[in-house]
This record gives sequence, C-alpha cells and structure tokens, in this order.
Amino acid sequence: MQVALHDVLVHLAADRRRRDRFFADPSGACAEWGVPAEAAAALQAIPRDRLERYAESLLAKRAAELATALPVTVRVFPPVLDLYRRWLARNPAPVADDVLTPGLREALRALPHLVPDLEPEWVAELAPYEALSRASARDGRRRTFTSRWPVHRLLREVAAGDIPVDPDPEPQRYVFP
Amino acid sequence: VKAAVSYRHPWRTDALGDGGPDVLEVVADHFFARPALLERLADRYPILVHDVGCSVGSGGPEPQRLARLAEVVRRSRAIGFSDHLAVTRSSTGVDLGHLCPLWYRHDVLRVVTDGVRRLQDTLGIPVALENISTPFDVPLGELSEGEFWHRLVDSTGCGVLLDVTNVLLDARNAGADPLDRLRALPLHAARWAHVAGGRSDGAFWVDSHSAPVEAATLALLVRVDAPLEGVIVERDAHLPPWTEMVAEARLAAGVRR
Repeated sequence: MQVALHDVLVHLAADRRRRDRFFADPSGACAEWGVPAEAAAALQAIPRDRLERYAESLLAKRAAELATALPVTVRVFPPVLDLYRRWLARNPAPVADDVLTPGLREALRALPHLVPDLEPEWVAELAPYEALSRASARDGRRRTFTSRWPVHRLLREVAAGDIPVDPDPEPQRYVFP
Repeated sequence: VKAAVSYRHPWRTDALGDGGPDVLEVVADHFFARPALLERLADRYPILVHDVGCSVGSGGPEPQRLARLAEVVRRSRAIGFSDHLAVTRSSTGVDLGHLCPLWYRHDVLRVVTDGVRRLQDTLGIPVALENISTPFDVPLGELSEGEFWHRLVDSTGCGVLLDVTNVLLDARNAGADPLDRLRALPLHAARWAHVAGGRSDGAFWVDSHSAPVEAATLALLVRVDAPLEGVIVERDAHLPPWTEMVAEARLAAGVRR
C-alpha cells in the first residue's frame, strides 16, 4: 500500500495535470488510479496549499539548476527559465542513470521542446550548443551539433559581456567533447 | 566536537590549502563524473559522504547508483555515509529532484529498513539518515515520526544525522516547540549534526542553505542531548569565501564544547 501512496504523492507533486485532476475530484481520481482507501484518505488530508507550495518549490529548484547549467543562455534570454518551469510542470523529470548534473540532464531533455520559443534565432542554437558541450565535457560522451550560426564565437562574445545583434549566419558542425 | 564543512567545488583550491575544518562532508553526486577528484581531499581531511538520491522510502538506491556511491566511498576513504529519511522518486520512474516526506507505517518501515541494510552491507561504513525539513505531514500513519525513527534505529543500528535547522524550521512552520520535536528523535544515535541558514517568505520557512546559521539554530544546537562528534555547516547558495565557512563551522562546533 505504501508504494501506491508514495507513488501517487510523487506524481501529484511533480505533475500539474495530476494535481488538477486530484483536487477537482479527489475521491474519483484516487479510484481511477487504483489508490487503496486508506492511502486515498491520507492523500486527501494533506492540505492543498502545502502541496501546491511544495510543487512550486520543486519547479524553482529545478529552474535554478537549469540556470546553473546554461548560464550564457539565461543571460541572453532570461525567459527560458519561465518557459522551462511551465513545461516541467506538465512533464515531470524521469529517474536518470548518468553522471550529469540535474541541470544539464534537464537541459538536454527540455531544450528540444523549448527551442521553438527561444529568440532570436541564434539563441535557439546557442542553448543546445551550451547544453551539449557542457554535458560532453562532464560525461565524456561524444555529441554532435549542426548550426547555422557560429555559436562558439557568439557564446564567447556573450560571456565577455557583449550581446550580438543580427550576427551573420555561418554554418558550423560541432563535435563534443 | 569537530567542525565540518559541506564542501562545494568553488572552494577546492582554498580547501586544499592550510587552515581548513576538522572534517569535510562531500555530496556524492558532485563526484560521480570524476571520483578521482576526491583523492586529494581525502589526503587532507577525514571525509563524510552525503547523498540526496537514495530514496530509502522507495527501497533505496538502484544498483547503478549504489555502485557509484560505493566508488565515491572507496575513493574518499569515507568514515561515514548519510542520506535522508525521505522519498525522492516513484517506482513508476518519476524523479522529484528533492525530498518528500514519508507515510509512517509499518510496511514503509520494512522498506526503509531493507534499504538501509543494503547501504550498510554494500558501503561497509556507518550509515546515518537525516531528518528532512517537512513541507507537509502525510496524515493517518500507523506510527508517529518519533516511533518510526526509534524502530528504524533499533532494527538497523543506523545513525541519525540530526539537522538542527530542519527541526527549528519545522517547529516554526507547525507552531510547535522545537524541543518537543528533538525529544521525539532517537538522539542517542546522533553523532553528527547539520546546521544551515534558511529563509522565509513570510508564511513558511524553507531550509534553503542560503544564509549564515541563525543564532536560534545555535541556541537549539546547545540544547541537543546527543553524543555529537561534530557539527557540519551547509551552504548551497550565496557561497561565502572558504575562510568564512570554516569560521562558521568552528563557531557552530564551539557551542557544543
């Protein structure tokens, strides 16, 4: 029984859609998910505001980890953190088996979904470049990336304090590490 | 009473110099990618290994993580290992990335006991569990938190890594007396204590590890009736210079002398 309760609790904390479903109809949701009656009663007795606060804290923690993993991307496009939080709230992180930092792991998982919303276009290439290069530096795994802009130079410019304006395309193919 | 600092990589150069604490705590997954980095630290300090990903409430670490933990323990020649009395993942594969409180029941106790024994058997060094800062209680359990802790310590011989800040912040959030919470725990098994600075949004205290240790935490630390060997200071945000962390650790350990 404890597995059912802890499993449901983890999903409730990590998944906005599960929480919405649960709080709209707690008994119905527990029945739908096959939660035993005793566990369902315990879950329903957890104060909603406490669970919501906890869920927000999880999002904030992971966003902070992403910011540490992608410092240059966050500097040129700070809204990436809000985009990530909104996406993460509906796409909980899976258990991983690697040596990446939590932020890098999440960057690799989330960026394919966030890239269409990154602006300007060269930032949409800088972000994966930063994630892939840092991930490979950490775990030694070979990764490749093809870009339309010379993002290695753009990243150096941003790191030096400059924000490139309308840089010229210059296709590149990168191999990390 | 020994003064210990929970190590973070930006302090590496200074930590390898003169004038450090008596003991260093390292976070295991900071070294999963490059465990060899532990060896110079281990030449300089006795090491305690700390983890946040064992999820003892869901059965303990998976085999690959357990193997990595064993490698970190071996490379660091660790004198002790700790994680939290918590769940961090579901059996369905969702990772919270943070600590979630347990439902205090007999069947959960069996799961945690098995997980602790597996850690003890694999790592071969003393294992302790830490009390978490509780975002909420899971109601309708069969055991009180204190009963759960006592039974776990009695059945496994594991230690308690007593987070004094978590006791204080939980008590504030619950409007309770922190001494009552302390008395409920099996403090005879507490050899090490964690202290850190938290923050409040005005309504709720969070163990953020983002500020110096409060005087109220040190005052509570003085009143802990436990055979503590040392006090470990933690900081994850707004890292101060290494020398300040060492001074803070010496101050915290000093209140126990």
